[in-house]
Amino acid sequence: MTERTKIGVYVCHCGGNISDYVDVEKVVDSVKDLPNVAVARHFVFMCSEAGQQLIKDDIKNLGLDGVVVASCSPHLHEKTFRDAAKAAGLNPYLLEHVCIREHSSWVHSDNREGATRKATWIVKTAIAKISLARELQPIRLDVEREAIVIGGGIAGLRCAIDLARAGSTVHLIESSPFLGGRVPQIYKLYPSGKSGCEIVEELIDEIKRYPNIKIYTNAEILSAGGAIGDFKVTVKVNPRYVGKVSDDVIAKCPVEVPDEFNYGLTKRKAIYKREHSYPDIPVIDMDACTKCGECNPDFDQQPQTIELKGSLIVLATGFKPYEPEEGEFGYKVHDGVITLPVFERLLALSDGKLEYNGKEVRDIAFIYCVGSRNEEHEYCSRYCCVATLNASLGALEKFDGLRAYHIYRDIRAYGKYETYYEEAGKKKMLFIKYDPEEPPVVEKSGNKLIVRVKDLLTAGEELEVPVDLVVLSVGMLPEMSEVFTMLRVPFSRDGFLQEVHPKLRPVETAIGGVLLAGACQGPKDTVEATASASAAVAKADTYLVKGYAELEPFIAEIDPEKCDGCEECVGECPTSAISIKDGKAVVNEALCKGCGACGGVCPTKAINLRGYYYDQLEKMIDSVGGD
Amino acid sequence: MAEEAKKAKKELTVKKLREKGVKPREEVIEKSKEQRKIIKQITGCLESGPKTIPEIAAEVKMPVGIVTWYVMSMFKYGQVVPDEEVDGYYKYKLPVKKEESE
Amino acid sequence: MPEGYDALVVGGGIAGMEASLTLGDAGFDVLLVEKEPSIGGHMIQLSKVFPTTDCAGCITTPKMAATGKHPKIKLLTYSEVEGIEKTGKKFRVRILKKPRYVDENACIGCGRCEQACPVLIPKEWEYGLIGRKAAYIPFEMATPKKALIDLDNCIMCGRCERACPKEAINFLQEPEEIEVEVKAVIIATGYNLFSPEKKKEYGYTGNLTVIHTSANPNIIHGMQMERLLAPSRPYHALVRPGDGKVPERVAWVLCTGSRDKSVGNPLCSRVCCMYSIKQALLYSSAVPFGEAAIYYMDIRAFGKGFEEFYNMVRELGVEFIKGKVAKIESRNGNPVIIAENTETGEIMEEEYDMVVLAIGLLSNPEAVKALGVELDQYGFVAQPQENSNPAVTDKEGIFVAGTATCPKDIPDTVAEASAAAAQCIAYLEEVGS
Repeated sequence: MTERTKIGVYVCHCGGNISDYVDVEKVVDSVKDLPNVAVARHFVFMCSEAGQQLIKDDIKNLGLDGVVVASCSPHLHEKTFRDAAKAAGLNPYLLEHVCIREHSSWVHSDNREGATRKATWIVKTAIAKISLARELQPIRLDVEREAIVIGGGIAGLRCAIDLARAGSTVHLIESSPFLGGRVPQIYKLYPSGKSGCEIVEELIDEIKRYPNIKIYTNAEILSAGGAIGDFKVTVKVNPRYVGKVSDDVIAKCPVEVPDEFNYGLTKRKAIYKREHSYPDIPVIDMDACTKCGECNPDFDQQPQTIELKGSLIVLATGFKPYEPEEGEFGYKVHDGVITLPVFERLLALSDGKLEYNGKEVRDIAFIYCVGSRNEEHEYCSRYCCVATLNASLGALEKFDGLRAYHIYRDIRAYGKYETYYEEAGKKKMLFIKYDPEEPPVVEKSGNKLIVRVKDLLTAGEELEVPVDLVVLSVGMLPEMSEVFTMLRVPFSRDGFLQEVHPKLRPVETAIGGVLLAGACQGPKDTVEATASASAAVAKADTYLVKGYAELEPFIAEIDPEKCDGCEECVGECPTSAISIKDGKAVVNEALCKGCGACGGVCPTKAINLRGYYYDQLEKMIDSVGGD
Repeated sequence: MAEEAKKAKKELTVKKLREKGVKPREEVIEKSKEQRKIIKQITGCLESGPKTIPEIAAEVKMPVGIVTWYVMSMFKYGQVVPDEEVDGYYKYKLPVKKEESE
Repeated sequence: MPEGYDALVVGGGIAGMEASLTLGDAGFDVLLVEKEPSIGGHMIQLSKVFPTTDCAGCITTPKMAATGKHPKIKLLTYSEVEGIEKTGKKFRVRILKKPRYVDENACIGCGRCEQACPVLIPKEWEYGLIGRKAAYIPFEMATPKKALIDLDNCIMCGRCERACPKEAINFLQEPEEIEVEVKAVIIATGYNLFSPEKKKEYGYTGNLTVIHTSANPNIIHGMQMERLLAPSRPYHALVRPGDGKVPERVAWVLCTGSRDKSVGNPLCSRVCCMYSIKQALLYSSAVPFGEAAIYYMDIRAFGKGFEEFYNMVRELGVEFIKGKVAKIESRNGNPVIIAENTETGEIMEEEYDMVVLAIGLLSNPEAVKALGVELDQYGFVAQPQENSNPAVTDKEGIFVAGTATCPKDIPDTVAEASAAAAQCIAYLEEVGS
């Protein structure tokens, strides 16, 4: 192929991020006279409007046939520059974006000369590469207005409603028999003061208004896969073994087991439903059922396997509360040591006076940061400080004569939530700051629990706090789901799901078309969870409402002249994108991910990866061979 | 050149605005005069070689905080450039291609 | 018949840009109104952002460019919404476009007018650390990169007009009244900063954007420190504004103007802990032998990756002192912090080369007044369905994003901006066209 000879080279200062350590002028000087280069410039911020204009003007005025931008990581701004090239009439894939910031200036800030030399090499290889670049076209995929939401907690509900309102069909999948997730278990939510049940009921009322929301409860995910525009999820909807029956019928059930919704504080029947939730059909817990037949059951019901399709998948799988180890602050060793979620249920269920295990509660100690900010879970769980303050205020408001002690590390009552902290102070609750190196110890003494703690606020004075109840303010852990592995979604260091970039692409994952909503991404309160759910919908809408998606063209390309149909590549392809037709290999464009594995095994070098053709790679190596 | 001449002939809009009776604030005019004096003093003081900000302040007998503000503003407009650092203070000098001061 | 748009976005900071881009990408026509001469908001002024330490400009600049050139987004800078009225399903909006005294279409942003102008004024964008001219380009990365003239500080000498190669300067420009019709509105008006001179004990005597006449210019506020640390910084190196010295000991005073009823703001500003920790890290890499100390009440490192960031900075040797600073005095031009260490009970007196007041974020009720939505007692936009749908206001068709509802960090702001866009899209699809 003929080489491109009018390449423009643009070296960015990144406002000093690059130019403080890389001599950008020297880089420009050493490439400006290369045979393929028409112009070489440097500029303070190539990504700014003025910088982009520089490139556009040169494309138009000098008739550039290729562009190299050397700046930050292509992760950040490759798209920015490709769009600029496109706007000026150049095929966007004739622009090569190379990184001389992360790869040069930042890692070699101690060696200006070396950093400059490396940056020059990088730019030279890019010029070589672009000199043989072909005009490529993005792969355009039609996107149907159909999406899959996994998880029926508050984030999943918000997602489903917003997607449906914008006109998409939504498949909402929930693993438990009822929608609502963990929010209905909360006695009173901050900041509205409404109960968790009330908030979820409102959302469920809204859900019911949209016939384009299809709900699958009691549903297991058997498989999930595909790509943007074409995801498939197979669910197994487990039987409820009963139809809609009246409360009297439910009351007839002779079996009573601990109610997990109330963490065993109360009992439920083997057949049960949730008043605040959906569907209004009970379910029979087959582990507990004696098959007495009193509730008109239908034990012949079979699991149903349903295949769902969607253009996008939103993961709203939520969190689970940290379960303390036996003996951690006396948990499961001393009666009266409970976690915050249990305390929420206790508040909601108690009336008149606060009792735990038949014993009246007068003094409560709240111990903060249980399962957070430690070696095992380094992160802060964010919601627990305010949730604990809020629960303590709720308790004092509902029951007379309570005394509360807050044993904390830092009170993270951020933003407007500071008022909860202030209110707790006004209510004469006591705050004791503990050192994580010397955490509080919970002991039993007669009728009381004793919390022994050194208070950093009084120069380490050792205190003994006698209480009736110890509430452990437990952190959030990610609720794991097999769907993460099925979709190959990456995790962050903290074990939650990883977004592409916290500021640029906060709801997208590395897997195109798989979006994040709510606490599966990291600890969030309800306000933040619903905001992130809507944010995921906004991203989804940019495809669903527009009706198409564009994918990068970097996929395998087969030269039929060279291909001898040996089928080596067929076996190597991880996405089954290659098949043999008429004795030659053929690539399915929607399935190919451009991994290049096929090219590696092809004995006749018949497979090229678009954008990374063999001749380009060879020339790139040659371009720095002499240095 | 023809362009320049044409422009010179064209009446400035600022003149028209003055004709409409809009005048600059007296205070701003005074301030501007003072500023030009300070900039001249700093420039003059640097003619004998690079100096740190406290050295300049001592020479022009002005508060060092105010001198910092002027020197840094002059740096931003290319009227001074930083030189070597000595004991935590940079020295400043006039740029090589000395521009005609007003 | 006034021009029509699907949505009006008020405010061109990161929240407004994000919301506009989302709406535009989904195919809706957007009018973005920004009161300053450039979009970018506070974020474009920041150095690097926590917890990833990406440079703020590297994220914001291309967002600004993308917003500026998006075929579905119309930008009106240096303009303010004056009134809004709902008629049927639409809003009629009155906008005042202030005169730049520069023809935006003709100006090429070359900066010759600025070089020619003889007047120096404290540059607001740099929080007064240096001066700008009366004819000026707001900042290097401004979008649009167009000059304007500050007539109030102009001596009307005409030098700028003579220097302009495009005859773009026009002193006869008048304010322009524009009327448009939109179907929905997103409020992204952002926050005001706490002005540190209100906390008299801390010895800052300038104001937010004036420092050079301050009693002790080595007591600065958090935004000024952001500028000093930014790659696009006003100075050539990290030196202090009092005398150009490289500061060897720097202290941060958290909660300046936050969690403090004595200055009228009981709320926590949510970002100051983290931005101070980040600044201490950036300072430590700029001045490797320097000492950094942070005075705090509680360290609120609550977001994703924040606690890990805090631990990393602590391990690097930044000192954290739990104590409320009572007073900041001056000794030989150096600030002296007087504080009670809450953990030891002792009264400390420490001299530093520079003290950074970690000022907080306040509401910006003036900017939303014309929109007629309900505000809370602190002047933030009220969120009647906070728990389940935080983007809606009390008025149908008007949505809210970012710090207009309370202080928050950039990841939360960006998420909310998209959330507001999602609500807006759902509403537009339901209202129909």
